[in-house]
Amino acid sequence: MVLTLFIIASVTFFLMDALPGTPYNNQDRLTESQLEMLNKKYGFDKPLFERYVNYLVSIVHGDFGISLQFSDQPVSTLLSQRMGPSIQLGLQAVIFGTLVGVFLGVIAAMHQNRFLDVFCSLFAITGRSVPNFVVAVLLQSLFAVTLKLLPIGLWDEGFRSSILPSLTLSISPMAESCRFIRTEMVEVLSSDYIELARAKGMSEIRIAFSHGLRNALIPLITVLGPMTVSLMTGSLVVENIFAVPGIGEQFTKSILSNDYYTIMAVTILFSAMLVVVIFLTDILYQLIDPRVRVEGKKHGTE
Amino acid sequence: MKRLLSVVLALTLVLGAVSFASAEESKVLHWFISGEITTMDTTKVYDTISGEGVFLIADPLYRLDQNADPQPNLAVALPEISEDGTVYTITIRDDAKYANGDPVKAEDVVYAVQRVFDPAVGSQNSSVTGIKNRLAVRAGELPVEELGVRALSDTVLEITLEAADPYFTKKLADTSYSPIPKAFAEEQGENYALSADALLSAGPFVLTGWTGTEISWSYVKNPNYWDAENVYFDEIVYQVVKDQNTALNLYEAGQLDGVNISSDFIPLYEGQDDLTKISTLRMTNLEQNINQLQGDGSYTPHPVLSNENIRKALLFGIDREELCNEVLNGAAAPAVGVIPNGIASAPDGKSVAESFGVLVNFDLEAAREYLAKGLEELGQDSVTLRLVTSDTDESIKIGTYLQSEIQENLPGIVIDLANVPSSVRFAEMMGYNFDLALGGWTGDYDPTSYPNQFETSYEHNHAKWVSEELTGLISALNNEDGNDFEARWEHLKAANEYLIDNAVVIPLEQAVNGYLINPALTGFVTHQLGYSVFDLSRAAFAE
Repeated sequence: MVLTLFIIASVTFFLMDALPGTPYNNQDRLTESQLEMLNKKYGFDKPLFERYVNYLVSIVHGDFGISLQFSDQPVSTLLSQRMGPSIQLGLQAVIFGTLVGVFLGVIAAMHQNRFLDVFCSLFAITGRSVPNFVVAVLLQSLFAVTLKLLPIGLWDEGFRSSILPSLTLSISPMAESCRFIRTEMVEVLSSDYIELARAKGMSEIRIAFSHGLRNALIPLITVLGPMTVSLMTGSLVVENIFAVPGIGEQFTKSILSNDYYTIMAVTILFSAMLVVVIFLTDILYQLIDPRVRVEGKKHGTE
Repeated sequence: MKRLLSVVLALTLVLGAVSFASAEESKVLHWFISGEITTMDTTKVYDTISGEGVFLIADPLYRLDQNADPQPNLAVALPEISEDGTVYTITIRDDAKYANGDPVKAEDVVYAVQRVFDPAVGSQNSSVTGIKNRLAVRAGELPVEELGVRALSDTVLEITLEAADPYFTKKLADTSYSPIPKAFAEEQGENYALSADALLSAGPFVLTGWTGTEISWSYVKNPNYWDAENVYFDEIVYQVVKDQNTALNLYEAGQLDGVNISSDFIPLYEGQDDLTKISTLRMTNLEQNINQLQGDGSYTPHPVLSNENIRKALLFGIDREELCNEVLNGAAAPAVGVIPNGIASAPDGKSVAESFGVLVNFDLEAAREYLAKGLEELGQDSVTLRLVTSDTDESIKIGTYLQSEIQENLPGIVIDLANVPSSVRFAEMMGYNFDLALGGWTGDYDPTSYPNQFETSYEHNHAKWVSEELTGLISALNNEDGNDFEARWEHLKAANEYLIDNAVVIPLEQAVNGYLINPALTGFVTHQLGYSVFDLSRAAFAE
C-alpha cells in the first residue's frame, strides 16, 4: 500500500512539474521581479530533484504544504473543510442508489421479459446514459423551483440541502446495481438449488431475496468499491449546480491553476481511499461468499 | 434494508418540516460572488474576487463616488500635493477605530503599504504603483523602511512618488491603502488574515464565519466604525454560486439580492428593473505576436504578422458592433482605440471617444485591400494563424466568432482556433510563442497604463513590439509631463494613434458587466475599474 502511494506521489510530482504556466493566479500581470520574489518565497527556484525530496520528506511528516490559489491557506485545512460534504453526499448516494437499484434489479429478474423488467431495464439504461448535469438541473427545477419542496442549492439547511445532490449522484449506482443484479439474478434464479427451494414451497420473494441475492451480490461489490470512492471524492458538476462546498471541484480547479500542493494532496488522498476500499472489498467478498477464502488459501499453497 | 429506507424517508420529512421556519431579518443583504475568496489580506488582493471580499472590511483613504471622483474616507480631506506633484501629504481622521476599539494611526497605513512590497509577505498585488523605491524594496535591495511612505504623526501620512501622477489620488481609493495594525499582524505572523479570527480591520463591516475555504460567509456591521450611523445593513451574507442557472433560480426565489449574469441571459431580463449594466474599462484585445522568440533566445519577425498590411486587414476586418450586440448581447461596447472610452476626460472635458476619435472601425473594403497587398508582399495565397483563447464560455464565444468573421471577411486568412486553460494561454503568450491570442487588459485610472503595455521594455509586451517613438511617448507620460494636463493629453493621443496606425494590437471591446439587483436596493456605488465592482458599504433597502 505504501509503495503504491509512493509511486503515485512520485509520478504525479513529475507530471505536475511539466504543466505549463505558473501557480500564481495573477500571472498575466506579475512583473519579472515579482515572479522571482514569489518563486524564491515558495521555493520554486530550487532544482526539481531537491524539491521532490523536500516534498516527500514533508509528506511523511504530515505536512501537505500550502494552497497557492487560497493565498497560503494550508492544504490540510482546505481538504478537511471540503471532504465532509463530499463524503456525506457520496455515501448517501451509494447507499440509497444501491438499495433502490438492487431492489429494482431483483424485481426485474423476477419478472423477466415482462413489463416490470422492461421498465427497470429502461430506467437503468437511461440512468447510465443521461449525464449528471441534466439530472441535477431537472431535479432542481422540479423539486426546488416548481414544487418548492427542497432548497435550490446552498449548504445551509443540513440534511435537506443534501437531498437533491445525493439523489443526482445516486442515479449512477442505482442504474449500475440494477443492471448487475438483474443479469446475475436471472442466472441464479434458473439454477438447481433455486428449483429446490421452489420445490420446498418457499415464496418467490423469499427465494429471490434470501437465496438468490446473496449469490448475485459478488460482481456488484467489485464495481461498487471504486464507485463509492469516486462518489465520495466529489463531483465538479453536482457541487457547482447545488453550490455545495465539496472537494470535487477543487481538484479540477487546482490542476487548472497549477496549485501544486493541492493537486498532490488530493491525488494522494484519492489514491489512499481507493487502496483502502479495494482492500475492504476483498474482505467483503469473504464475508459474502466463503468460497473466496478457500480458493485464496489454495492459491497460497500451490 | 427496508427499515433503513423508511428511516431515511421519515428523516427527510421531519427535517423538511423543521427548517421551514427561517424568517428573514429585514436588514440582511444576500450577495452573490463567483468563487471562493483567494485572500482576505488587503495587501495581497489581486483579483476581483478577493477585491470584493476585502472591500467591506477595508477602510481605504478615499472612496470613489459614482463619477469615479475620490471622496475623503479615512482621510479627512483630499491630499495636499507638493508643487512638483511627487509628495502627497494626507491627514487621516482621529476618530477611526478598529473593530476591537483600538485607534487607527497613520503608521498602520504605512505598514499596510510596506506589506505590499515586502518580499517576506510575497504579495501578488499589482495595483499599487508609482511609490518611490518600491521596486528596490520588492527585490530585497532596500529595507521596507526606505519605501516612499512614512507617518509624520499619528494622523499625518506622507507618500513620495517617483514621478508626478495626476491620477494618483484616485489610486489612493485602492483597498491596499487600508490600515493594518502592525502589532496584531505580527502576532498572527503567517496566519494573518487566513481566518476571520486572525484578522483585525477598521472598515464598516467585520468578517465572520470564514476559516479559509468556505463558500459562504458574512460581514456584520462594525459598531466601532467612525461612520456606523450611515451603515444600514446589520449583516451582508456572501454566497459562492458557480452555476449560472442556480444563481438565477436563487435570485428569482429571493434568496439572493444581487447576482452577476452572463451575456447569454441578458436578453431574458432586458427592460426589467432588476437588470443593471455596468460599463467597465476592461479591454479585450486580439494580441499579435509580431516578433517571435527563437530557440536561441533571439527574436525574429513573425513570418506573417510582421507584415503591417496583414495586421491592418485584421484591424479593419472585424465587425465590433456585431460582436458586442449580437454575439455578446450587449455585455460589451465596441472599442474605440487602445485607450478605453470613459477612463478620463480631456482638458476640455471631452470623452476619449470624442477627443481621440473612434480609430478602430469595421471597413471591409479597406480590410480586403490591405489583405491583398499583404498577401502579395508575402508572396502567398493564404496564411494560417493560430488563435489561442482561454477556455471560459465567454472566450470561446468570442474566439469562435473571430474565427468565422475573419475567415469570411478576409478570404486567404485561415484561423486555427485553440481554446486552452488560461494558464496555458499565459504560458504561450509569455513564451512569445503564439500567432494570435485573445487577451484582456485592465489598467488603472491613469490612461497611460493602457498604451504602456506595448512599450518595448514592458514585461507584458506580448507583441514584442520595438519602437523608439512609442518609448519616447511613454517615457514623457511617465516621467516628464507631471501635472501638465495639456501635454499629457497630447502624448496620450499620439500613443493611442501610433499603436493603431501600426496595428500593434487589435482592440475589440470594452466589457459591460450584467447584474440582476433587487430593485429595492439603493445607495450602492459601482466602479468601472479596480478589483471591486460594488461599494455596498452604504447600501440600503428603500423603506
